[in-house]
Amino acid sequence: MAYSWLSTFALVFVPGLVIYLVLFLISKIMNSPKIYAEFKQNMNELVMTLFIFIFIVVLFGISDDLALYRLTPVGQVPTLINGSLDNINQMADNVSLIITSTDKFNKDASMQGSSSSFCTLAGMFGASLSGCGSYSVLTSGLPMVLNALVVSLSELKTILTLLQFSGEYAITLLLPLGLILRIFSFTRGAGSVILAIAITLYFVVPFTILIYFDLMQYIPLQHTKDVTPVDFKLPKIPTCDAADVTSANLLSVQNIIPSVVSLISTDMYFFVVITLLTSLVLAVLVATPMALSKALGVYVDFSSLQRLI
Amino acid sequence: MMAIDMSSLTSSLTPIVLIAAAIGLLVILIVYLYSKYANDNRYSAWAKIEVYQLGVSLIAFGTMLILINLICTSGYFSDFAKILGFKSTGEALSFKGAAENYLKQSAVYSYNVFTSAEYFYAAYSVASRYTAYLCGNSMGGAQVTAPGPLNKVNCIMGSSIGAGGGAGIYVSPMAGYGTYMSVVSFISNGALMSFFTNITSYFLLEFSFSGMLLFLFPLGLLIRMIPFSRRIGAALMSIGFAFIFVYPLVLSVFYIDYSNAKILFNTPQVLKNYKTKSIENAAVSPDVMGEMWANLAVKKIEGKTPTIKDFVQLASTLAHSFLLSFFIPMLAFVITIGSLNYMLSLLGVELDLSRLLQMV
Repeated sequence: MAYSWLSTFALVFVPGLVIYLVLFLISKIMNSPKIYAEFKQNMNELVMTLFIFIFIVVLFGISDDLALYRLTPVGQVPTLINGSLDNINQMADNVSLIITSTDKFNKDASMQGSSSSFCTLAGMFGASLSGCGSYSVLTSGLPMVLNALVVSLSELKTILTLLQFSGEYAITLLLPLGLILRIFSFTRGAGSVILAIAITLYFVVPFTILIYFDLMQYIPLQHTKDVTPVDFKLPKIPTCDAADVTSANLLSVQNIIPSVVSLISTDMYFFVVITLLTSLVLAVLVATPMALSKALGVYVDFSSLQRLI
Repeated sequence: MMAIDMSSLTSSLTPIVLIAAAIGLLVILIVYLYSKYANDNRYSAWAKIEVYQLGVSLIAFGTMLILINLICTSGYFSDFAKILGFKSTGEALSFKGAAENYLKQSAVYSYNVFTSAEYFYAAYSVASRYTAYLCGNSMGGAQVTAPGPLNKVNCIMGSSIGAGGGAGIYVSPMAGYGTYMSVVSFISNGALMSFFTNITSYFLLEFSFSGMLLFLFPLGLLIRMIPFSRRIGAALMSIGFAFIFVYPLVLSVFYIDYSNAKILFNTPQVLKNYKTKSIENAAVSPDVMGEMWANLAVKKIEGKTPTIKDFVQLASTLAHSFLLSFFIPMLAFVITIGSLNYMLSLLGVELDLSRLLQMV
């Protein structure tokens, strides 16, 4: 990413330096130790901001190497953001595919399960049969499966949007804004928090995601990338005879149940992996700005946002 | 929305500040004279500190007025975006205007997710409850067999037009859509919650520029300049300033994406397709009989029912509406409170604001 560090530096430090030099001159003209103390304190903060700036520039250079070391998405510039976006996109595609591939199974099973037959004589005597009632077992768990998948997809899309936002605006917008606001004592609090959020969004969150996906490979369960809809090809639903009172329909259902169990376990795997990832990202998103802004002299209680977990 | 006229605000606030400064100065002068009369250095030292604090109050007033002017003046936001190399919205926007627009656009997004989800719910409801009466054995691509020993004549006799009796099959060919209804209901509720939070944030922003700017902030200034009540004044002034300056500033930052439309305000096709669709469109006349007619009815209903791809896209928009309408406004609120904490400590006030954050 081409980014002009020099213009940010000029935008932030030159006005700050001019303001504090004026303050210094006033303190000398008025011979006021209090104004001089104010000048000293503000200069210290400006130097501190300069150190943060240098730290971010160094971090910016190192982060790409880190991305190269951990994971390099094919055909993309190896940055932390691109690496984590690639992982999240792959997982979101898998979840979408599971939802889509469950659709036909759900519709066919529901239709067969809904059929019933009847027989009447002169509208007075008759019987009604729900010979396909056993088919409803196949679809009874599907709302729960779909709910879990939709929640997982929503979580992934939230992280995806956050990452896209970070890639586009964290360094180009939040960072200069935070640095500018840090110059003035009245807005130093807001500046420090925005700066802390920019660092968290651009460096810490994507790095956490990369490490998480890297660690997932060592879990002795199924590998994240191996769990695709190919693993649980759902069977074709056999035709149900609505007037059949023998156990033929029940036996057909029994043959399909293992596939439904496989679907539920795959769904739960994704749900657990994604919910853990979301919790981790949210914890990092809350704890890191809190710690960073505290280091920059502002205590912000982000813990209320932790309730979103 | 009431427009803030900065020149009238400055001209109305300045006399208040000057009167307060004069009252403060008078009190300090009286104390100073008493210290001279009583030959007590403690009072003269107090008077010196108060004169210094009065100066700080006046400088704070001037600085805050400049910063509020920065937030409220049209065109500053657009210029700021241009300086950082982003596209401008094309209109001369102030930071406050951009914050307002952000909350309006995010509310529209959440509302669109809600109305689209409502359409989905209605369409799935109509589809899943459609029941066909069949004599044949083919329906919607799957096989449904008629009772073995019965023939077509018996079947027709058993239908609504039959009188002598007979046999047949009832089937709901689109019952599968019922599975999605609970999920769509969840999406609809989530979008509505995000929308409510968004509206609350919008109210807070509007209140900041009416109640806080026109009452709390001047009152704080007035009280801070009078000795003995400096801390209460500083607290009121800081609360007013944090919500007038920091809150809209943080919200406006996220509006920069609007003209670039890359991430936050990129409306997906599913919302464009379904946000204004009437629920009536999903309903078709179900009173058709027989296999051929039932197939036609299914085709007609399914033509108006959202596809599974639409459903997946709708599920994704829920997260987006949550981010736009809930997470970002709450983040702005938390940053505002953090900034307020810093300002309070700068002005020497200890105030526990942790309870305020419980609102999140």
